[in-house]
Amino acid sequence: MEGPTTEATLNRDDLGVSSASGSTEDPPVLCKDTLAQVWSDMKRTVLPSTISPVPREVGSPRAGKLTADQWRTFCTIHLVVTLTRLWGSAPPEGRQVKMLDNFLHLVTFTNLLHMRILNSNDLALIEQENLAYLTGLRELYPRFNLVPKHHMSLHLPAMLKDFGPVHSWRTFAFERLNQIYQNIATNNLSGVEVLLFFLVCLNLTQANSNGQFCNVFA
Amino acid sequence: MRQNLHALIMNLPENLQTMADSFRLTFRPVRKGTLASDAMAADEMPNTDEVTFKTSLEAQTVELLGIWKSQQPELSKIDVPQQGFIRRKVTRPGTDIMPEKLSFSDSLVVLGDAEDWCAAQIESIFDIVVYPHGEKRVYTLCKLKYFTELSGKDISEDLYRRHTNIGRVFYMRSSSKAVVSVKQVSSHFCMTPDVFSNISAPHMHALPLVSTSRSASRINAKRQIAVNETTPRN
Repeated sequence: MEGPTTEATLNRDDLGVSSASGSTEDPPVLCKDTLAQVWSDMKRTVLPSTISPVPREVGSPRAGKLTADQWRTFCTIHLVVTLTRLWGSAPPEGRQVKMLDNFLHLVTFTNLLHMRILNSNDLALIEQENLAYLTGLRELYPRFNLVPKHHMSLHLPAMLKDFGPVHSWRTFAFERLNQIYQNIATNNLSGVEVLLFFLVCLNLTQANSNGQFCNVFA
Repeated sequence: MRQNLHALIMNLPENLQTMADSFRLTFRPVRKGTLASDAMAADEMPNTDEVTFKTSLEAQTVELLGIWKSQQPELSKIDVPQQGFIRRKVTRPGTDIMPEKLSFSDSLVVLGDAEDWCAAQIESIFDIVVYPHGEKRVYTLCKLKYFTELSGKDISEDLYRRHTNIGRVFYMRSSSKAVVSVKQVSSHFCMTPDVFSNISAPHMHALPLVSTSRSASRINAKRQIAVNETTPRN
């Protein structure tokens, strides 16, 4: 196995855990060696064709930014495979096992959110897993503050109850556009993304007025 | 289409209110989402690009098909079909199920639900056309081989079994073959070979990618009768 050639840049902010003090004294959650193991497992993992593959050396500068779908694949598949193998054999009362349990609560929560069919039991389980994850987050990483996304996630069960599974009301197509815009070189000029967005909307409107179908979100 | 169906059923006359109530109870109160579309998608006539040709089935497939037919009460009076329409794939929302020869990764599937499941690989997919009561019926079936569960000694090495919903480890060899309805296929799984050095035999971790429902394919999802022990792949 080849070792990492670049400094790993995946940090807690990438995993949704923000630092209140900005301190870098705590050991990293995903260190360089762990990422090397993740990359090694990723090379061998066989994914169905409908799953968005993750860049080979995710976390390194050369891999670039990930799309929302790639983040989901990375966290719910690749990290699950490797972290369970690495941390699962630690002593049961050890910190690594607790970190793994906490992470798996997040994975279960995410997987349940993406189910195409939900019932009331699933909604209760979603709420339970989310609370377990957030509670564990406070215990394991007391130096970190919860962010508004964590608060909003607590409202998801109620929204699922009202509107049904997320496939019918999420804005995944717009999330894809975010990544496209982020990869456009703007020479640090502000407002270019907004201009591009209006151009895309204008193109879509004109195409619809001409009776053509313009699938800009494909 | 679903909304049109819903509107039609909700406006049925009074003597058909029982059916309307059943529809309302089944599809509305607690189960939301694509249940109706998923239910209607199963066993519908395939697209022309998914079916290649009609051909005689292999002897082993016919044998396994006979076992499957014996478990279907409505097909008890018909003979085992000797011919079938070979399919290239079965398409579901967000999933393409394909045989091993066409796509290795899309042939790895999970049968069962979140609590009781097994990993398998699809060898072929085919349709059979039968006339059980004078009516034409099409069944989409797949011939698959199951991956072997770990033995007692190696189970203790499998760290994935200590948690729920993150898969488990299987040997890389197949234990048995069967013909099952494609409805019993729950999802794909991600395969990572040789994750533990303490397990000497070739093995793999299977992580199910269930995206439909936690209880998908719970009915009739039990493992079929196993026949034809096969040799290890590696």
